[in-house]
Amino acid sequence: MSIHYAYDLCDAMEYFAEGQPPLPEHTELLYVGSYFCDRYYCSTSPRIWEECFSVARDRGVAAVLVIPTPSQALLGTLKNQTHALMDAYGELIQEVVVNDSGMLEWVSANYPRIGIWLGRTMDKELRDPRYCLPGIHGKLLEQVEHRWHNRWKILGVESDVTQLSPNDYPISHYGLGIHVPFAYLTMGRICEFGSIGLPAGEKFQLYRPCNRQCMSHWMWFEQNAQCFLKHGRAVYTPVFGELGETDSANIRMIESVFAAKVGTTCPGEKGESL
Amino acid sequence: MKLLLPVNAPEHIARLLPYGENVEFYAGLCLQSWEDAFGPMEDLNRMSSFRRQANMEGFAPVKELVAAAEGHEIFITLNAGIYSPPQTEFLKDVLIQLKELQITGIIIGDPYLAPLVRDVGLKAVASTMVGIYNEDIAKFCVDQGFQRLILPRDLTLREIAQITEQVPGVEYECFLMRNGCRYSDSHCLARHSDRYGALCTYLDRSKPRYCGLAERSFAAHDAAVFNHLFFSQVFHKSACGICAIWDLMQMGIHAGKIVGRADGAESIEEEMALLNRNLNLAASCSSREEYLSQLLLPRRYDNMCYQGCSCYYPEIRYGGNTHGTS
Repeated sequence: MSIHYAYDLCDAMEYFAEGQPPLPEHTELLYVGSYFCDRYYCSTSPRIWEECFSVARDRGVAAVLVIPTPSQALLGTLKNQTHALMDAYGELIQEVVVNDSGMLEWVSANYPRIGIWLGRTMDKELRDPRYCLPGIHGKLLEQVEHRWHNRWKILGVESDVTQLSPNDYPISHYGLGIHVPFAYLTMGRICEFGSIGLPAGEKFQLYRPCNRQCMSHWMWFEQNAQCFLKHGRAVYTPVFGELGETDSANIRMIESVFAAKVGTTCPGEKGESL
Repeated sequence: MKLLLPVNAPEHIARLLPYGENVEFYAGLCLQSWEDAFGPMEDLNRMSSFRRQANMEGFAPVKELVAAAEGHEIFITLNAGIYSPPQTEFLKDVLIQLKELQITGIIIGDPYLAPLVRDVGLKAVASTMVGIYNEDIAKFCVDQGFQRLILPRDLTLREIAQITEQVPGVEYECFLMRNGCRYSDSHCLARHSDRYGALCTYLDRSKPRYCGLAERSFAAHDAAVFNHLFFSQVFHKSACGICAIWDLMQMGIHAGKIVGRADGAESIEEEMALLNRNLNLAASCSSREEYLSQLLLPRRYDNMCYQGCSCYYPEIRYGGNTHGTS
């Protein structure tokens, strides 16, 4: 058994770059980029990238570049951005996380020596805190082992699970990345926050630019004592339980910076003053 | 462009056929043997939990469906996002039985089923569950053996044009009518129905807390609340792509999809008649402007055609760039 610890700055790199919070001591890898938003990935300023990568450099930890699924509109821009990042920070970027089959092929063709993880949007197993669903079944791992093992240089797959418990995980020589403290449930290209401030007739239209409102707005939802977080384009739920001792080999716990930014539970009612 | 219509009972086909010849049908399938083998929480398709409301129960009604269709194409949906190797083995037998019933093809969510579908002689159709958001993913799907690609709802017309230009030689299908979705089919991984309903509508019924700037500034709070109310109460409560039909036809889109496997036959019938008339009109028009000036607007126009909130492709009326690469 080996458990590794990664700290995930994805989709909130500004928050981290502005000096808060400190990198956890046990961090072995630093995740940068975006899981869910090609616009975020393509519009993050060079200064923010530099500040995040410099933390990796200063702390002596490797970086993992997370590439979101590109829309057709941003496909070329996203590839150029990725080339630029690989050129500038290639010595720090140890692995890449892809979130769709197109980028899996593209990264494999353009960077054949880099190890690839299949990101959290490639794992299509259902997860839902409202129901008692089994833990990670490992279908994506099984697919990698049975069908894909020779085709790409895959190191592991990522999963989101709403309840952690020991020995609930498939045993594989591939890595299994588990996201904490939030499991992603759903996401969409149409960004709610990106339309804040727009007139009604311009809201939720894919072809309109955003002002990165996701950096300064997020929402919690609460029902039946369950909490849901909407941050950026995705909806998450807090992960319960602890991994504890597990027989599963090669697990990577990927801890999101969101916990520092937004907390891990739904805040109480507001007082009378803002 | 053909119309792809949802059916959840063989008798619905007889009601829909009189409205137009240029139609295809799709239906869900639920199998007790699947549930016995893998349990009730393992989906055979994305709407398994709707059970009979959105699915044929067993192979017998599929046989009736094929007979009722009078030669029109029938597609069966097996679009769970991913299947385990034992589930894939189980499905091989299902595919053989469906082939024997002479359906046309299978709408698949797991790309790795595509070669199996082709191997038994059925047409492999990529469901929106595959998430074809760009030309690279479309190319990957074609390499996997897909013969038709259903493009997601959340694509612009310009993106559709570019994908179809860059990856020719495969049929494309686009959304035309009925249900919108505020999230992406392919990336929505909570259960879709059962006791609590879809996650999006569950959140609409939940207590929201506006955070970040919205909890520190009155004006920012106001803007966030209005935005959320519009998003949760108005946006894509239903959806329509009527205004885009002429453009989609110019792109060579093979089929326009009417969503609603769990909906009543009467409403499908009404919308099919409307769409069929608009398809005929678009085929006779030489420009988008000519088509837009004559098209038949949707039922409940007063609500549907407000501020683009029910548009699959709002750029037609709201000023986005609709052109492809050229």
